[in-house]
Amino acid sequence: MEPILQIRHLSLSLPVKKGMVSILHDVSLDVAPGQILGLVGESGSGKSMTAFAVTRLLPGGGHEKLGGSIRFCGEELTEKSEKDMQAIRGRDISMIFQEPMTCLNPVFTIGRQMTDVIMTHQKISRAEAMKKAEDMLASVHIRQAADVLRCYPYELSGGMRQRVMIGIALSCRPKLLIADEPTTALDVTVQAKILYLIREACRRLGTAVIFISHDLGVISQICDTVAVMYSGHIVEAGKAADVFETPEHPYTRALMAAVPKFTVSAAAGDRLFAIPGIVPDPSEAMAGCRFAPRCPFATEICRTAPPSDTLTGAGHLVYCHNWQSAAPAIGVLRGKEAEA
Amino acid sequence: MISMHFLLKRLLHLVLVFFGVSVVTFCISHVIPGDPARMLVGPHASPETLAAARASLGLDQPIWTQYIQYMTGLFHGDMGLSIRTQMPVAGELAKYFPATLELTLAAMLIAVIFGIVLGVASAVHRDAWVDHVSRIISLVGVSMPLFWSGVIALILFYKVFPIFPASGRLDAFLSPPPPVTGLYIVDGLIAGQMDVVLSAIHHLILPAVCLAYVQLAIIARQVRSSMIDVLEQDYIRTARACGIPRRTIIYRYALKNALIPTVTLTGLTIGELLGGAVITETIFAWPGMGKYVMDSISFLDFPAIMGFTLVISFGYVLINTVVDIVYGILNPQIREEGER
Amino acid sequence: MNEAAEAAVRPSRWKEIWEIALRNKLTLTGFAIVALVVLVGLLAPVLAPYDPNEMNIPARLQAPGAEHLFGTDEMGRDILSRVMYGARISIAVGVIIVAVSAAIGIVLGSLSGYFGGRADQAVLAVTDMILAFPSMVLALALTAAMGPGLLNTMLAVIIVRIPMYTRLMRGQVLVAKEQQYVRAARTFGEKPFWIVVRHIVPNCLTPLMVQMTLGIGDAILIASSMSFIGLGAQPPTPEWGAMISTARIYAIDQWWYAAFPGLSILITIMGFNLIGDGIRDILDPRSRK
Repeated sequence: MEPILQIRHLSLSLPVKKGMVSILHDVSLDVAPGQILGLVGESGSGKSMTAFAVTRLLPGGGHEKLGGSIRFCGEELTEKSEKDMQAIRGRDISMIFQEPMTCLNPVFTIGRQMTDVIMTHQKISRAEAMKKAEDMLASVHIRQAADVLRCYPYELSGGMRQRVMIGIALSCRPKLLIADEPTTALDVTVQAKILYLIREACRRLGTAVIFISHDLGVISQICDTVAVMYSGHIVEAGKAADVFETPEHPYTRALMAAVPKFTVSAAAGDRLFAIPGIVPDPSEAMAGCRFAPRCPFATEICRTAPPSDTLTGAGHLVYCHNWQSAAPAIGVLRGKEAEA
Repeated sequence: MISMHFLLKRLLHLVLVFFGVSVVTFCISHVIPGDPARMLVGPHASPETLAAARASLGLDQPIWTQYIQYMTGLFHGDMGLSIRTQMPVAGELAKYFPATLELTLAAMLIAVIFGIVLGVASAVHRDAWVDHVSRIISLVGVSMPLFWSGVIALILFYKVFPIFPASGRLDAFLSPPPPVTGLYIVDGLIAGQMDVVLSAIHHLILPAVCLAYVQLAIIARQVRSSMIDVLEQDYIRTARACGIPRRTIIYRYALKNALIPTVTLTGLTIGELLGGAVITETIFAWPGMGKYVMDSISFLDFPAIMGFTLVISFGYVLINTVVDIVYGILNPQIREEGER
Repeated sequence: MNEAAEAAVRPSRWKEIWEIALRNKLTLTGFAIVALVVLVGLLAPVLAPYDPNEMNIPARLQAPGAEHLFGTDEMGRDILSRVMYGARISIAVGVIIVAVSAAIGIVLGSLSGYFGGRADQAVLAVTDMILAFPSMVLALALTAAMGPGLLNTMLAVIIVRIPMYTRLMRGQVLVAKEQQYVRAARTFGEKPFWIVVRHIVPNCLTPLMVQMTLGIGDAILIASSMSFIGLGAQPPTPEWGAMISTARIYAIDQWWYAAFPGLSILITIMGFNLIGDGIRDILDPRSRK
């Protein structure tokens, strides 16, 4: 299917106290209608910034530098004015966020906040918008939607607020939904329901979804395709099944090894694996691969030249010099750690 | 809008605070002075008057009997005789009350309106010249002695640039409008005497601005900092992600949240304005309660001073109750819980 | 263990605050202003060109010039000298008011916060009563009852300001009480009094410092206002507020008479405000905007 969102060689620099700091490097992604793309990585890897770059909600106060191309429905978003972007946000591209506790305005009722969004994008009366809002809440499985509309955010539970957020996000039937860690702040039982809700809505409305999470478990449950990010770069991308079954990049493998249920030889008493070292600071300049300092397979070339993308299977991309030579078994990683 | 429970709770609180205030004023007039009777009649009273005062105070009675007598007097509007004018203090204060009300109301409007405008402009255009100018205005404002700004304003706008009159509420050749509210501007409008209205405004501007300035600065600072705080909140990002126009976000979504702490501040502001009225009214020869108490101070007219203290404090407490209720209306969570 | 860590953190934290404060231009300006005013006040007998109370009727109400940099008042006294001596009074008044009211507030607040119960209720009730008045009006009534004069004014302002520190300290203690190191001390069987003195109070002082710095400016302001009204320092005293009170009649035609004492108050208070704001921004990064 033709991708609805095509990101090519996206780079982003944000202003800091002294000069600019590069946040994203050469990010390329595709999302197709009705499909869910999982964007995974540690905090600070640039997942959220990629999303904010798409909707241009960047924290640089207009001084940020955006390079590359973001094509959405055949239109180039990087060339759009703020006013055009305003019309697109909420109507064609919606977002939901991590903290349902703080994402709703505490001094307005749910109904007021939902209708404000609907009326921003559609020329209808408050009463009509209220009817639409009620329908939308019902469609995200909120019972007594009419009562909830009259509530203030503090009167609702975390799960309910996240449902409301999804309701607001879907109220104008957007073509793309960006979900930034939408379940991280919720209880596990509520998490599953919200995940189900997002997937169902996506299938029903044909909405494309970018699902951002640091939790591989969540990503594996819901996503069709996956992109793994590290320090502002995509390191591996492909169909979810491929990436999870045959991870090629040392970082992806390490990430999976760090998740208990992904251990290959899950013998009792096995130690949980932790990736040594920390994510490099974005301001830190590096000639080669940014994972090299933490990578057990790094060789000379990794420290001097940035890796380019290599196709390892149908649509499965990996950005690594040594992906073939790096021993595929995670057991080696474990051994290395034990030695250290 | 507001629950009865909330209102009743505020009213009960009001009664308690009134009681507390009366205890304090009772202590000031009956317990602190070496000889309360002497304080009440002044240093030049005849021995007979002094003896009569002693008897009426019941100084040989237990303290709580004295308090009951004191409260009985207050309930009948009896605040004693002014030493200076030999008139009942309550009547005198009633005569001067409207002038003070007009001045403090005007000052409050100026402080609140311009304080909010300045604070919002400053927060929205952070670190631009608007922000710098408004921060300098605020810094000078919070450090400015009221009695000095009044004198300087007179030198500037009466002597150097003769724009405003130096004293009184009306031009000498005009007579006050028929009293309805006691506020010359309002009464002038009711009577349709535009010359009186204009003259009253002309006389009011300089003292009101001087009185307002310090509070304006405090409000501007508060609004700026809470507005900046609110603009960084998640729900503002949500609103932006939903495509709500920037103006709507600033002036409706953010401002309502930012004004909640400002409402509480407004209550304190009124206290400062009422206290400051003593100084401003003296400098601008404004015939209100402040000038009355200032004249009383030079005679050590203790009953007049205590009467003034009582009236101002009761007014202050009353206004703060109103402020609390407004706070409840603005902040749905407080309204529901009914307590702070 | 915990306690040792806390103790080790404290001095370095103050050092850090101090270092950040010195890097901020505005805060530095505040320090410079206050240092200057204090210095002028201390050295007034050396620096002042004239005796502040020496009358010279023939030279009355002279405009600023070579003889009298700030001009003279209606008695021919040198305004510059009076302003210099005024710095002494104002700084002393501000510092004493804050020191005494904060000390009492800290004691009351920590006791009421730590022990709670009836005593706490009583303290809260009294502070509520005092806070129900506009501070200026209550100070005015109290001074009137005790009799005009600078000492009584200071006493009145102290009474009016105690609740602020009590409330602040009480809130701090309520939080600190639940901290691990305090619980640890309790399980070690330390006496409550020593827990309060050794563990709680030192850890609550930082926010109080901000309030106290801002409080000095505020105390100078309210005390000079009382002098202006005629309840505070009495006329021959070279107190800034009292000077402006007398200057009021002459100010329209002799601008310098009111201008210089007023400017001194403005600058002094601004100095304390700059320092207070600076420290607050360092302590509360949220307010650093």
